[in-house]
Parts: sequence; structure tokens; C-alpha cells
Amino acid sequence: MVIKKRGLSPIVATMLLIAIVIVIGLIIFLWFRGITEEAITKFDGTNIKLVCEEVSFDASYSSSSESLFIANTGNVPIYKMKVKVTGEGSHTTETLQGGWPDFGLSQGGTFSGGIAESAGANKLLLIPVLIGHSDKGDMAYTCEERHGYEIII
Amino acid sequence: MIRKKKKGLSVMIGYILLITFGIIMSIIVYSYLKTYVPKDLLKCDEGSSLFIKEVNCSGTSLNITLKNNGKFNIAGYFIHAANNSAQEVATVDLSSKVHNDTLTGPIIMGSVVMFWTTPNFLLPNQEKTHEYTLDHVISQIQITPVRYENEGNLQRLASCGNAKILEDLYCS
Repeated sequence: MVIKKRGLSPIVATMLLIAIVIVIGLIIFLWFRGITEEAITKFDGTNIKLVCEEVSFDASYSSSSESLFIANTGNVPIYKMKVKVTGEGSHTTETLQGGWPDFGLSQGGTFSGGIAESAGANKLLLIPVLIGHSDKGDMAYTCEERHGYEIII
Repeated sequence: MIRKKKKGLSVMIGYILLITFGIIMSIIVYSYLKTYVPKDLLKCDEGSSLFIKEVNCSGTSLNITLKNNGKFNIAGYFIHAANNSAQEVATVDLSSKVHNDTLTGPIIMGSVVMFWTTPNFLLPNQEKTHEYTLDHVISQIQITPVRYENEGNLQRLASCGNAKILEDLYCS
């Protein structure tokens, strides 16, 4: 009895299987990369989230002159500063502009200036923004609120 | 005896593919997670300290004698002043107001008053007096020591924020 064998050879089937696995793997990898944040690093490859732990600064607010005073007392340059202004039942976040140095507060750097929307505020939270490196070039990263400096007015 | 024909990938190629995928996955995961490994960032040595031994205000002149009362040499310091007593953080940089006759080192990074041209010059128990010319009222001065720390093969200036000193005074 002669049996005619038809269909794909095992080699072709295996190659197809591998090709499908690679394609699915690439799709999953690209999707996963999309949902995870791109790593921003600072100081020779340290993740910027860890650098946020090392940021150290002093701050105070004078209600009489409506001025905010900040001094960088650590060794991590602060690129920008976000201020979360909390009032009665609402809050707004702004980035300090007027008087803030173009390249940020380096070691020992200081800032004094006003906040645009301080009327009715009872709490300020200063959140540092750092600049780090990524595959796309230099990128700013806003530290988490737990690294912020709270001022009760 | 029935003769079986074996076709498909050999066991060896299967292993090679498995190991290759394993290595590639490890490299991807490693390159992502390595940034989360904590490294020693630039820090001033614990035990670095400056002490304001004497401060005198006379007219527009401010004399400050600083003494190294810590365990390590100090390179220089940041000096900031506050204009009024309500201001808790001193933000006015006085480094540009230092009198040249008393200045023994350069002013670097725009605001660090160095004790000498060589790094970490001020030894423990040594002191130095600097004179400043004021052009406005000050109610507080804040001094933050700085020293050079080794970072790999480089020496970098580290601010000793934990050793900063505040002195209330009134100079008009």
C-alpha cells in the first residue's frame, strides 16, 4: 500500500513556528515598552527616580511680601520647581518662572520670587524637576510628591 | 524491525535556541533594571563642619572668622544672607561682596568662596577671616561648607548641606 504524504515539511513548519514566535515576541516587547516608562538616568546611569531621593533644598514663604525663598542645599541641581498650591477645596500646580535661573538651581543656588496664584492658598508643595538623559536626549523628570517640600501658610 | 525516520529540529538546536532566547531576555531585563541599582552619589563626608568663631558688623563692613571644627579639611563655603527677619531662608549671595584684601582663594562656580587655590585647604582647627562689604541691611547669614570629594578618578565639589550654619545678626 502506497501512502502519499502531502503538506508542509517539518522544517518549513518549524521555521514558520519560529517566525510567528519572533513576531509575537516583538509585538509584546513593543507593547510592554510602550506601557513602561523609558528609563531617564542622571549621574552615570543612576535612574532619576533614585536621584530624586537625594535632592535637598530649603524653602520658606513670606505671606507679607508674598515671596517664596528656595535654597539648594544638596548636590543635585534642580532644573525647575513645580508648586502645588492648595486652597479651600481645590489645588493648582504651576512651574516657577519669574527669577528662576535658566539652567536651574545648581549647588548652593538660591531663588526668591512670587507665585502667580497664591491668593487663598493655605498650603504649598514644592516638587523638584530634574533633568536627565534618555535615548531621546535630555529629558525633564518631575519627582514624586513625596520628595516635595511642604509649606503651611 | 520498523525503521523510523526522524525529522525536524535536533535536540541540540532546540537547546541552542532556548539558551539564546534566555540570554536575549536577560540582557533586555538587565539593561532596564541596572539603572535602579543604587550608587553612591556625591556626598560631603559626615563630620565636615565649619563654625562661626567671630562675626562683626561695622557700618557696611562685615567681618567673619570661620574655624574648621570638623574632622576633615574644608575647601570653601557658600555664603548667603537674608534681608529681613521674616525670611527663613537666606537667598542673597554675598560671595561677590568679599573684600579682595582678605580673599586668599578664588571664587568658583560663581558663588563658592575658596580658602585657597588648592582643594580642601583649611585643616581642622584652622581659621580664616574674610571681610565683606554690604550694600543693604541683612538680618541673617547662612554658611554652607564645601569640600572636594573623590568620585571615581575625579574630584568634585560637594556641598555640605548637613553642616550649614545660620547666624542671626543685624547689619545695616
